Amino acid sequence: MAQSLHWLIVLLVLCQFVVGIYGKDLPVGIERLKLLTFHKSVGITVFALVILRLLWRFYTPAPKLPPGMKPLERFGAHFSHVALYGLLLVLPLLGWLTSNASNLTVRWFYLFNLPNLTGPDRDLAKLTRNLHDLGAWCLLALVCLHVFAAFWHEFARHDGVLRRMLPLWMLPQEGR
Amino acid sequence: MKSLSLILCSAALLWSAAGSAACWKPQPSPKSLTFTASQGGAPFPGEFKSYTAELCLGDKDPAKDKLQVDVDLTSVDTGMDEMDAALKNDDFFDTAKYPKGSFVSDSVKLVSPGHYLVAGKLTLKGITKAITVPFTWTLSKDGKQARLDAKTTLQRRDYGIGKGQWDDPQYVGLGVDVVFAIAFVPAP
Repeated sequence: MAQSLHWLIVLLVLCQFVVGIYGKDLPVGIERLKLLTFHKSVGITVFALVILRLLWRFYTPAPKLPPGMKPLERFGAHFSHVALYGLLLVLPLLGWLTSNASNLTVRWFYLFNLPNLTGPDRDLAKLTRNLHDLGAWCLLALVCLHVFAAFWHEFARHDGVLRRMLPLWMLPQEGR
Repeated sequence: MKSLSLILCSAALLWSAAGSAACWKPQPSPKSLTFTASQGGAPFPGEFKSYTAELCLGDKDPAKDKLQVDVDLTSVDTGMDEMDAALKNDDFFDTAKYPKGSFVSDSVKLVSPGHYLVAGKLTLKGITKAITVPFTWTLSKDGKQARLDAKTTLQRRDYGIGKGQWDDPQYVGLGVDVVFAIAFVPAP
């Protein structure tokens, strides 16, 4: 469950970067409307999946960090995970706020409307949009760090941290 | 004696303003002309910040009743600058060519006390259509203030609004709700 959610969120967040970066500077038009509706819908989905993931983690705690990690490494691991989860929750909220402050209601995949968190406010829209951008770059940096750390665990430490997140089919036979 | 007659004169004028002369002028507040369109199925509200309204209502001769509203379409405000700019271009209002929208009544009919039906012609983007709009008219006790509330739904395609890439109703709804709320005082 934790693994499936992890990889599903990876896929969706990847989409978010592609669609977000391409869509945000398009001129006002149907293409932008379609792409940003998709971006907002996926963002809300990520928000819900991250909450689910955290609930799951609360009831089924993640395995302990491997022994032999230095205190600073442990701190780094904990801090980066908290930051990852934090950004995955804050970014959708900032996007949602940006829409509402721009006088747009968020509609999830053309199916239902989400409540408005705030009324139209040009200054707020500018602020939350900038924070959303900044947060997205921070997330990208953290993801790079996360991937780097995963490989480091696998290839420098050989401690199985990466393997336990991989789906079975990707593991070499003896690893199963 | 002179000042007394002046007072009497002005009293008479005031009386006539409140009584028989039935024309009204808008007050700065409340004065709102808002609309709610839809984008991708979600509501998309906005308003026109600048417009004028002339109203004559409650005359003994109903043929003298009339309502005229002129809207400065360049004053459209949706809370998003890029969207306001898009609405002014030729796919929507084409304000360079048609800066104004107007409604001129043909007849005003009293339906029940305080409830009226105004029939008239709405012109947007050079296209004129006959429309009928119900409105309520709430007079203050002293008759020195009144409020008009009207609501109607316009079909954007009737006026060629939302053309080209915007035409598909899945992304830009066809019906646009328009709400008019405005306070009046007797016109001098």
